[in-house]
Amino acid sequence: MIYDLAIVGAGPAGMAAGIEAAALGLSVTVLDEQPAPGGQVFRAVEAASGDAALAGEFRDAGGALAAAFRAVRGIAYRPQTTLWHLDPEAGLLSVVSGGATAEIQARRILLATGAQERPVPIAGWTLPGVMSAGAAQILLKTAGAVPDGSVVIAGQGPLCWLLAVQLLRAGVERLTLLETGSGGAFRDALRAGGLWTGRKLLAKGLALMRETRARGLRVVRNVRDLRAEGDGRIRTVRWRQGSRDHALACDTLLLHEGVIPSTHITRALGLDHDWDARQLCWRPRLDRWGATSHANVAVAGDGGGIGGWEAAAAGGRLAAIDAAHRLGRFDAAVRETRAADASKARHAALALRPFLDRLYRPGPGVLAPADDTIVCRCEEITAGQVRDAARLGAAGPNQVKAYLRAGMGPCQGRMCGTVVAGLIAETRGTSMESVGALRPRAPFKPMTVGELANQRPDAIPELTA
Amino acid sequence: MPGDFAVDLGADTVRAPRLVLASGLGNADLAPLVGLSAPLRPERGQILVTERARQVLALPTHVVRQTEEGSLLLGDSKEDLGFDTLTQTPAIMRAIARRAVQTFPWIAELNIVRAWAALRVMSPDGKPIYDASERFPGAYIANCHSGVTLAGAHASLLAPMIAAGALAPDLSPFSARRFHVQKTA
Amino acid sequence: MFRRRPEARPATQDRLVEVFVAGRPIRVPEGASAAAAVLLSGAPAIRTTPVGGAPRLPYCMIGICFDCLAEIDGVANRQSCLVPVAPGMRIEPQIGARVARADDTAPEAA
Repeated sequence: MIYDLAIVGAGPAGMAAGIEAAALGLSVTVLDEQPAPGGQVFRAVEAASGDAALAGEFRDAGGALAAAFRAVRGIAYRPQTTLWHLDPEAGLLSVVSGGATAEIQARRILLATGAQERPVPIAGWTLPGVMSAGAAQILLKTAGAVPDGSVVIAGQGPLCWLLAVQLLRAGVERLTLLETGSGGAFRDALRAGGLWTGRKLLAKGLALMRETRARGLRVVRNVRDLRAEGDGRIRTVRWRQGSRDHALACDTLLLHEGVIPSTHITRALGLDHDWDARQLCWRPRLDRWGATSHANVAVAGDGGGIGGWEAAAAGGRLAAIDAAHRLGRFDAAVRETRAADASKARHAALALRPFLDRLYRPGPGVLAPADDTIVCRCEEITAGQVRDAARLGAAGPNQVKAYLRAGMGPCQGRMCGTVVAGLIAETRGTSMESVGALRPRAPFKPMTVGELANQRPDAIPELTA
Repeated sequence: MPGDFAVDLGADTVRAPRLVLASGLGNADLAPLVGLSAPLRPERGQILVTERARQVLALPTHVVRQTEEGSLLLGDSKEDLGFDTLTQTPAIMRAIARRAVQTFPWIAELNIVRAWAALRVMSPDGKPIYDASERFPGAYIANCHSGVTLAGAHASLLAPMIAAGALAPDLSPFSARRFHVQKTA
Repeated sequence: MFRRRPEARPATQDRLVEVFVAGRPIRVPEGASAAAAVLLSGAPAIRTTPVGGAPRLPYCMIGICFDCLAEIDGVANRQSCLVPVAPGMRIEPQIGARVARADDTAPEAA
């Protein structure tokens, strides 16, 4: 069969889009690599709903959305299914699931593959015991687990505060937040405005900060030059503050410098992208409905630009409404009417973004770290090696890949691509736009030769609620 | 000018008494500048690359080989798609995977971490083209679809001929004139 | 290291699954990943890198860093953060580049 709409990703955008599309009478399938819906922000929400440490929005809003998604008839939901190739012209999705590959056909494709935490390359970040902040949150959500001993969150952004609250509620006793970020960022952020419209989100953030204070979180501000040190695993975290060096015993170091769109698939498709100088990331070029530079492909959620789960859900609804319009279900005037609520919700959800983007803008070292820092974790290539290649003439990340193998490992450049580009731009004195980005190709995620060789003639069995 | 060639690189100009055009498919446009012809067309091939594995395949085969780093390269296909190296074809990728697994069943377990397509430099009969220009003595063209395979021959046989100023007579079957003869036949 | 919080989730929801990390048994909540099991077990590393032999533990837990590659039930280089635990699962560290299991007549792996 040919679906009206194939949605890749069952996070807030994908779930909301699926619910809306089914309500509009479109035939829709939702693919997701995880075994349960929720994406990352609501990961394992169905299983973790009893955990008091995760009380609040995660449990309430996330749980409700997942339940609504499950309840809809008419969504062909395919968990543990990974997209490995997409032909947008033919509407052909090549997927792998359960040891074999198969094909799904759709008139329109909505990519809701979300975001990833920005890699934070510091000296020693590859040591066992150093993880992203989100990783600790996922361990809490999926296994109810917390880190032992001295736990340090280093970086900046709303997730740092949310995670701190969750870890403290969950019983972590020695928790320190090392906040990077410059002193002037707050003044700059105030100029962005949006504080009144975004007051709900702002109040949430302030409440989190108050709770961390009440629970005894130690906060160090204006931290620079982070280093992780240890023999075979992290033992100490070092930093500079002003002109002084500091060190702290550390058993688990959780790094966070914001979240960036996952552009792996949109890049593989050759869609148009723009460099977002505020969020320091690439984003696919989208219209207000999420339509990309290819007629059959749209993007919704954080994959189109970081906005948080509420904006993602609203964006998913808008993309589904637009899909119905493009497939001839109703005209543009009706599209406007149906989209009014979601548009308003999205606008409100994004109101605080400019403020947050300025407040938590990563420092230059995040995109262009010191020479001795590993930037390609898979192939163990350092920033110094990349700078040397750039001086030799490598003008972009695809060339650096050929010189050094950076980007040839299994992560396919997800961890190193933007940093390699940042190093080239810095070394050659050019812009991120002119340096460009890594060009990924299928398979979008590794799969075995055997999986590719095995093809199921019939479509992968789906779960319909 | 014969014996005095100038190549304009934009910021620089390079001069030399001998010029060898070895720009693959680009020779089709460059060869006529020195009075030669290089009738070439792109023939596409797709390759699957696996994760690193410990050394297991000491000798390369035509369609499976293991690199020094440990990745296995699985090929190959022959496609006529012009200059497109970005489009990937699941059906062809699957066929490559199936053939590799038929050849070595243990390959089925390995993860494919990337795949790419590239263009072979194909002459009408698939054999190399080596020519010396008569109108512009000192200019040569060299084309083949497997410069890696022929690297030894190019380095130890072809290069000394070019340095000495003439291609040996036993290279004459590789002149592009052979295509003109066919045309007029 | 990481520790479970048995008090956190109601008994009815929080079924425990027994898996083996480097041969040692450990019980982890159903729905947790094999990578979580490794972190809960206190193992010093889940893999050593093929290039430099460096020890690694999981970094991102969302399937994009590939530092959680482990041998699970005899299959090498699986992204353990994407594999839910199952009773009796055997999780072994991935030491360097994987072995390609050619037949017995093939040259011995270096």
